[in-house]
Amino acid sequence: MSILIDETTTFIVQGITGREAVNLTRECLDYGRGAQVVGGVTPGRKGRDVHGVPVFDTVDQAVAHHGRPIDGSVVTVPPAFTKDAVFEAIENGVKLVVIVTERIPRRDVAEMVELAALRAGASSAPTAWASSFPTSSRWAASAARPGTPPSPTRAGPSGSSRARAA
Amino acid sequence: MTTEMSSTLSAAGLGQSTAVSIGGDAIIGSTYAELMPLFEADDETEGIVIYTEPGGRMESELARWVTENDSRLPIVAFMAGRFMDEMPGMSFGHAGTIVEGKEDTASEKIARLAEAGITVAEEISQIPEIMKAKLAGIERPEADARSQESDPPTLDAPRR
Repeated sequence: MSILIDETTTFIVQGITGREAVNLTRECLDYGRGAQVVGGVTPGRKGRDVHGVPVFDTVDQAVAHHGRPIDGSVVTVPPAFTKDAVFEAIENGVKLVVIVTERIPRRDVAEMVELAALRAGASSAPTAWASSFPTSSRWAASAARPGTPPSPTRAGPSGSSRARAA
Repeated sequence: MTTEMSSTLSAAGLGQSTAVSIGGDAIIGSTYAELMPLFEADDETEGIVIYTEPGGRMESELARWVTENDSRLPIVAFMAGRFMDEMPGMSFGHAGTIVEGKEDTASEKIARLAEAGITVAEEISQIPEIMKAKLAGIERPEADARSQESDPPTLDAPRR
């Protein structure tokens, strides 16, 4: 058994049409008996598919297509839009958020953590709320300082997505 | 480092129920202490390995949680960047390693973990050996007593 996720956990990939997200999705589908990637979200790309995973404009559409609440989301959108994506996931009932993006402004991270705690407190659902921000604001300090040139992104799935045993 | 820890354990024949990369940032979503009750309630989890760095208060929170809740799980920690104690005032790497006071230094954190019965390995390669010894009950004479208690301690039982 595992905590947080297991082989029955359904999740979406936000920013699924991005280069790293496409690879990440492939790896998730290949892992073990195959992860339950039930959808992807990239605004404006509805109707496409990534390795057979349907793409939607919004999390709401992905949930509607799945027909049931979705357990988790892997967020791979750029730092400036990460907060928005995470808020959208949380407000659509997603219980576990894993953020792959680095260099998210620290203030945004604080707001995301706050909203997660808020929704967890309001929820009487029998599932534990857990939010995980594996590599989120690692370089937040430099990202938030105007005039600091961004260094090359070390994007990619954090080890956790593959290391978790089903 | 999550993958490094996992592969070190797997190579030594220790499987993992769950590996969580909580991140090395100043603000994160889930701390050690928040995840502990979930592991504590998982009957297939027998022990915990954590990778830590100087800076931040998470380890003292963990030590407190372990002590207060009389955790059944043996914990082995590895602390990277011990050398930072020799270079006060220098800031290293990423946001999470900013040392704000004496409480955050590597040696202080190691002492705090040790007080809670958490062994801090000198090298990553020692982790499996230390964990196996702990699982076998060595260094933990009270290990027998804990198998009798079936209910996880006070915190709400998690469900995933």
